[in-house]
Amino acid sequence: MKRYILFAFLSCVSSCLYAQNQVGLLPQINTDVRLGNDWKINAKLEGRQLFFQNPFPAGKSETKFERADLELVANKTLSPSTTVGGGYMLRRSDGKFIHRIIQQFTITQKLYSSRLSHRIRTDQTLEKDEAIQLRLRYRLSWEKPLSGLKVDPKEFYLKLNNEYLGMLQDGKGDLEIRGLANLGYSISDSNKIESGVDYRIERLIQKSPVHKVFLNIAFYHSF
Amino acid sequence: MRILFVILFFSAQGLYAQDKVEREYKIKPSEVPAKALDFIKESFSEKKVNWYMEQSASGKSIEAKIRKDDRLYSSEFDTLGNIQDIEVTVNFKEIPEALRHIIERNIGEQFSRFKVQKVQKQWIGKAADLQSLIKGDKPKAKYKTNYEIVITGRKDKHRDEYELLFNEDGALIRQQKIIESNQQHLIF
Repeated sequence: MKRYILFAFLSCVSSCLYAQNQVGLLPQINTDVRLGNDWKINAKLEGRQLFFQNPFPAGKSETKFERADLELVANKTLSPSTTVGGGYMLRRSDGKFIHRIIQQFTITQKLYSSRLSHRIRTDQTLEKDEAIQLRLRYRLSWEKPLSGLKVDPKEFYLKLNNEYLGMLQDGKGDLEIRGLANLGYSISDSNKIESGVDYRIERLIQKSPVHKVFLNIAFYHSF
Repeated sequence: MRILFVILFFSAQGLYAQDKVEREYKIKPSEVPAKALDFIKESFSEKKVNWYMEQSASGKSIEAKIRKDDRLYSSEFDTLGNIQDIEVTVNFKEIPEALRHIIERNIGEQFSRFKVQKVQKQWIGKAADLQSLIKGDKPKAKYKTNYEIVITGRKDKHRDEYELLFNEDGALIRQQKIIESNQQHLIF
């Protein structure tokens, strides 16, 4: 039995190594500003630093700062468990600007000793000389306190995300799947820090899939 | 006299419309007073017991959570191990019909719309009587039954979560708005 497990593991590793892949760092700063009437503005600054790429792009450095995103979403709390929002993202990548319009709806469920959040998002990406890209995304997030029944200040927690992204561009559809496992620490009621592994598999339908693994480091602050 | 009036006014406001802010963390059985351990051992045959220390505005307490017959029992002790109350999860429809209607009417007077999320029956009494109630036996002495009800309620055009405590006559004893911890890291 151990031999089969080892064989399966080595097969996965080798297929990932031969496939197109990227390894990098995904730092993120996320802030929330509370406005009146149940509205909040969420601002996210995210970067992507690549340390390894396969195949190695000709004429480009293997390690490079690939992109920087600034995202602003206005979110309205409809009830203690539901929110609706809309926003805009500006991306700087390869010397170009990319624009994205975002709409989202979230439901957060309180379970006995954890929380489950569902996020449905649609977005439209606009880029010079490219057809508009439309995406429909669903993300499931699970937060599990590592001490007690809810996350309190000065406590650790586990966060797992699983997201499915369907996309349509120039009449062609594709699929991306993301998984994230983060260990978080609640510094105070308004500050959290998280780190873990973010795995993504892109282009599942159109071409050969691309595997991406990032070290995710995120800081959340609520004003 | 005027000072006394001001103190009483603010005390009453505080009792009626507090925000529920509570911190709890898991503790080991070795950190629990022997008296509380003995109470649980004598009351429940279940082996899996989760112990928590709770800190709120009213002070510290120790809580034992046990799943028994598909219900969750929470036994609250003071820091010396003296039993304070027992709470057991029940369905809203399990509350006696007449009492349920009084409670619904009371909630309806405050909230334009509401949805019951969770109900816990709370028993307050002597340790021996609480043990009888857990085992399904008739207690020898009098005990108090309250109902702790968590609702999502709409009030002043806002929907929030509230924890309401009613006595066995349907009178509201305590009301707290539940302050939900930030969801920012879950939705962004």
